[in-house]
Amino acid sequence: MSRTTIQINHFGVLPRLGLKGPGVARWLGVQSITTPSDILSAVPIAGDAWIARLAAVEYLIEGNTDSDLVSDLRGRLSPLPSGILLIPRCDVTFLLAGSNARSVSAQTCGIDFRLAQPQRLVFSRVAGVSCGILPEVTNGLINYRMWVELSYAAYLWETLAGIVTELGGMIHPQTDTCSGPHSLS
Amino acid sequence: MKSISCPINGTRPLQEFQYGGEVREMPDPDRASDEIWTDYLFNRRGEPGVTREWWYHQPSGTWFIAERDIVKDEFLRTYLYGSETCDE
Amino acid sequence: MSRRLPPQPGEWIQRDKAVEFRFEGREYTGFQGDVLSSALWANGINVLGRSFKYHRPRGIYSLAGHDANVVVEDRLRSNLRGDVLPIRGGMDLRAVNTGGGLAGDRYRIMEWLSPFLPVGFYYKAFHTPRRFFRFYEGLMRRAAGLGRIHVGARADMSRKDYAFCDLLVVGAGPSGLSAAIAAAEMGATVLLVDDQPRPGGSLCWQHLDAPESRSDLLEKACALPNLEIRSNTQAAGWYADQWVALVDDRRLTKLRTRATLVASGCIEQPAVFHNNDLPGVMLASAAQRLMKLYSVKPCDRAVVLTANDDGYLAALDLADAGVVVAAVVDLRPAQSCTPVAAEVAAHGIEILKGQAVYEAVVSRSKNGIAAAVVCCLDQNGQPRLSSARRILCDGIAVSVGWAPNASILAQAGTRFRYDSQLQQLAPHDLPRGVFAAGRVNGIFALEERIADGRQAGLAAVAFLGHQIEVPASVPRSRTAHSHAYPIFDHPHKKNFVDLDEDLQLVDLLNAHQEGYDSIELIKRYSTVGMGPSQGKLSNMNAVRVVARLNGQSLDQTGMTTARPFYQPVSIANLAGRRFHPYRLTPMDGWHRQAGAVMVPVGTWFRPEYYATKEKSRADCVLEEAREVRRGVGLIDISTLCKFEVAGPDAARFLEQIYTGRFARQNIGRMRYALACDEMGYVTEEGVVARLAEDRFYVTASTAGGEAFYREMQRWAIVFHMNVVLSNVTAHMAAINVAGPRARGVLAEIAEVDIGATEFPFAHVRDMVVAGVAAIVMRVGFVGELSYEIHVPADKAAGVWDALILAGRNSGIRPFGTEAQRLLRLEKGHLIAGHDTDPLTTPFEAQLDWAVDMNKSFFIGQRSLRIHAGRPLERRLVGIAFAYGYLGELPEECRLIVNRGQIAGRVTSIAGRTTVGGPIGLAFVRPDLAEPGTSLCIRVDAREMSEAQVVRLPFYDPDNTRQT
Repeated sequence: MSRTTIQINHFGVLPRLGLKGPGVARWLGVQSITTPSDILSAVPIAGDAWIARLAAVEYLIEGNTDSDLVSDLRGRLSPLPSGILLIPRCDVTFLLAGSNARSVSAQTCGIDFRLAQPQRLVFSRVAGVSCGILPEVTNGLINYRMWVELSYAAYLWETLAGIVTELGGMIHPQTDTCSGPHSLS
Repeated sequence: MKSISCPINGTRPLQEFQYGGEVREMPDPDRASDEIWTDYLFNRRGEPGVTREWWYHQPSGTWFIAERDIVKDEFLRTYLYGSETCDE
Repeated sequence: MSRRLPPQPGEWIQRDKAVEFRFEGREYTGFQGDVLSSALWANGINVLGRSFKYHRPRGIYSLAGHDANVVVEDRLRSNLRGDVLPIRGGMDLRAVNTGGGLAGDRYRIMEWLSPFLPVGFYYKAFHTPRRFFRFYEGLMRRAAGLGRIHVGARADMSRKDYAFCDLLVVGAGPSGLSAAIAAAEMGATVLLVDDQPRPGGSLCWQHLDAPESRSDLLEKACALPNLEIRSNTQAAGWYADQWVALVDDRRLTKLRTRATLVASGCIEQPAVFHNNDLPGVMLASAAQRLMKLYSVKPCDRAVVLTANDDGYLAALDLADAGVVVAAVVDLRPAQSCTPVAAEVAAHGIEILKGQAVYEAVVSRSKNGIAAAVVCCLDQNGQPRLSSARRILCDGIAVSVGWAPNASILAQAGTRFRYDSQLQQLAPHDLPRGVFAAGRVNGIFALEERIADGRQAGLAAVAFLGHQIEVPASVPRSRTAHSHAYPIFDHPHKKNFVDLDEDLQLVDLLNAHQEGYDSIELIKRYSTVGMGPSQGKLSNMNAVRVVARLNGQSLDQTGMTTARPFYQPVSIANLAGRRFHPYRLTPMDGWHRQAGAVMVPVGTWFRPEYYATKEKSRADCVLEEAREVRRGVGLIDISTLCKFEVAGPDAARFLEQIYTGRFARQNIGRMRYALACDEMGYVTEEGVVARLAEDRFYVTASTAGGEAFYREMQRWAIVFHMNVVLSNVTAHMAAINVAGPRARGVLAEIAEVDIGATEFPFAHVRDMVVAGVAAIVMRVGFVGELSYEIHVPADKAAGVWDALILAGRNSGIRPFGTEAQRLLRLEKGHLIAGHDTDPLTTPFEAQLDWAVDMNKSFFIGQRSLRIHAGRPLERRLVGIAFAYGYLGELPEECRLIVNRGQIAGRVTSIAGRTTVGGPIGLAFVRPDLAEPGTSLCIRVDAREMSEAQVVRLPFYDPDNTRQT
């Protein structure tokens, strides 16, 4: 990955598990998954995945196409234990990376990413569309993991990839074999 | 553009929010006279001073209450509905 | 004739880079770094533009971006200001607002007509007769004084950026630089903007021999990594919560700063005297800019009119440049004598104290001046004509006062007060987080400006929360740098107050006499300050005139309101990149490949119908509908809003949101759900499916569902309900398979038995369809045997393909929104928001059956009780036209007329149907709602049509088809 420019990756719909309810944290504990203590924070977990705490009793796990973590967990949720709800989560994941990544957000998002902390979730609007953004540090650089509802993904990709191209960056559209850099190191 | 501080998501530009009107107490529908009920439906306070308002942070789907000085157009504080007593 | 001077220290031009350009069809040469005005002036050109109304010749006046009469255009761009337009090789420019060119402008005749064009002429003359408006409009547009819009020009995409900083400093002069440095040294992230091409402000042209020079300050500034300097960037507008629009030639930046420090300096103000507008008369600061920045001699023989030391400094600069300074005319009385005056006297320059320029004498060519008429002032400050004396000159440099460049401060809410020591306005009350420094703050001496900048910069940093000691503020200057009334009336002659709009002193006097005595009214009536420079050179004098006419102080008279933008901003900059979000369903690609005609529905795109070769739209729609009636069709309904409502209070919550009952709804059953607002009017409808004791799956309309969900969220909070709401609209896609053969198609890919007894009408099942976990509902929207299959959005395209494959032998075909609307109309289903309006009660819409008034509470119930006690005003009924009706059909929303009175309106209509003749839905007066009643429906202005009220539904009244 070039350290001086921008690139954007389209990961498609990664395996995701949305859980809500008073029983979630305990159940995840039983599965040996430590939940983040703060609301709107995210931590990496085993299986090249991460878990985010969206609200007091709402969690989201995003895995990788190569890993079975999410489908394993899903299997263990049938029948659904009490105090747990499965929330359908069909978002598309983009990864905006490179040292110049902020010049993309400068044109599309009204919040100050200089102040964004790694592994703190930001819900904002990008190019007019509601998005979740997770800044993560990889190799000393801040990358931005973004999710957008599947229905808006074509629009947002077209817009962001257009801007990245204009800025001389690289775009990596979705491919069937696509599995991105996934560490939250 | 104004900034509004969402109690969950922090300070964001106005464009991320939607206004939800004044906070009003619904009169008991079984006891209220037609006059009181229609007053609740159709009349708004709107007087200069501090109002309590509903605001919605769209990207995260969060409703909260803002106390706003509508003369100075200044947000005084924001909090989740029902939590004003524990605030500060 | 060249007026170019030998190289000057610090000049902005690059002499080794000659630039050739065209102006008014003629070739000229300038240097890189020249602006149009300086390059033309260097070439000996005096007339750079024509004035707005009288088409008088105009030249350089401010050379600071306020010369609103030197406006040019090229083949693409219009309304470019010559005094700030950098020249580039190959430019081909012409002046706007001329009749046949600048030199021979045939509209010069306006000058002779001027006695017939008093103030307010347009308001008085062009309002009657009405039928001439068109003609007047053409006249006015031609006379509007601005350039042409080149409609064929390519739209430049200019980007818009968001940016953030701790402190914005506006103006990179000595005080701005010093403020930015002081703040940045304390660790704040500082953005310093200046509209000039180079930072330094007046240090570039006024204080070249300053002790702490421009280069010292710049060196310090550049060494600070947290201080960014943007030249050529104007702070165009200040908005709520420190949101500032910055405009440069490429983009608009939307800056969110935490504090704003304005060090924008002052704008030099003109004196009012006869012919004060002619080329050759210019502000002393313009003459200095011309000499120091562009190395151009303003004139050969100058008179300096002054009321402060700045004029004397300018006189010295002029003398240095080889200009013969014929006299310094000082408005101030004789007793004042400053060191700089002594220096001027030492140069052998005549100093005329207590005198004024009363008139500039027009030269023989009419394109400049030949002399200044100078008079002594009496004790009222008015010229004594008996003392008039002519001084030959071709230039008058005017330095009689300054006005704070207050635009950004005023927009931020700063109040100004007239400082009678300074004889000018100064900030009085700064809003929180807004700071001022330097000349805009009423501080004039260079060292004090630098100290004031530092003080304000540190005060801003302290405001940002740094624990630092802020030095005491620098006191305002004690000596007046402005004259209290530099206005000398030459009766019956032109004395200009506003050069932009050709407003004369007499116009203000007349406006005042006509009763316009407040500054805001005079502004609007006379248009003073409403020209392109927005009064930057005229408001101050206008206020002085009005204050004197009213016998008021300047504070009592007040200022006009400052609004964005500081300078005109191109529309391309405002437009920026356009974001038009749209939503696609997972099957979007399939639809387009299948020839679907896509229509926008809210932000979504949906197939309206699937086009077939050589078939009309109506034929395609009807065929799709017929296929559903006799075989099987499928439609992508992913755009429906879909919610999950779960938790111990879920059923109770739904009972309060919707008008119907859900508490005793069996698991696995679905019900129609109708919602009203608090006023009892229909807002939403959909279905509620019970998946578990404490879990419901709810659908709502594409158009209104998102807003409805927000309201559900809010009510859940207000009702203190223990429910979990999830909007799964984009996470779940949905497909409706409908038609007599639907069961057979679904059975092929469903992994459970879906026979009529196993899965009856109005039931819901979790099942696996084509290998995907799905929620399947037996609904009846289109009036046939029908299944709604809801699956995770990323799996939906596969399920769709599987259905197409499974239905191949049954002749399955997709149908679009048009066919769906026809089918539901035939079945008599209304669409909320289409067949209802925001004031429709369920009773009017014949939805009484969906409302349970006996529940303890639901939203709208209290109001519906009131509605129920009143007679109905209208009812929604089915209407049918005679079978084989050949006349034109009314469109939706056409009126129903009964004995000359409006008696209702059509809400839905379909011409070709699967049930016979044309049908529709309509609101009618209750007395016309009985089946069999004849209705007259307006088709257009002339034609009426006739239809009959019929019982709903039109299709399958016994519901045999959908069960």
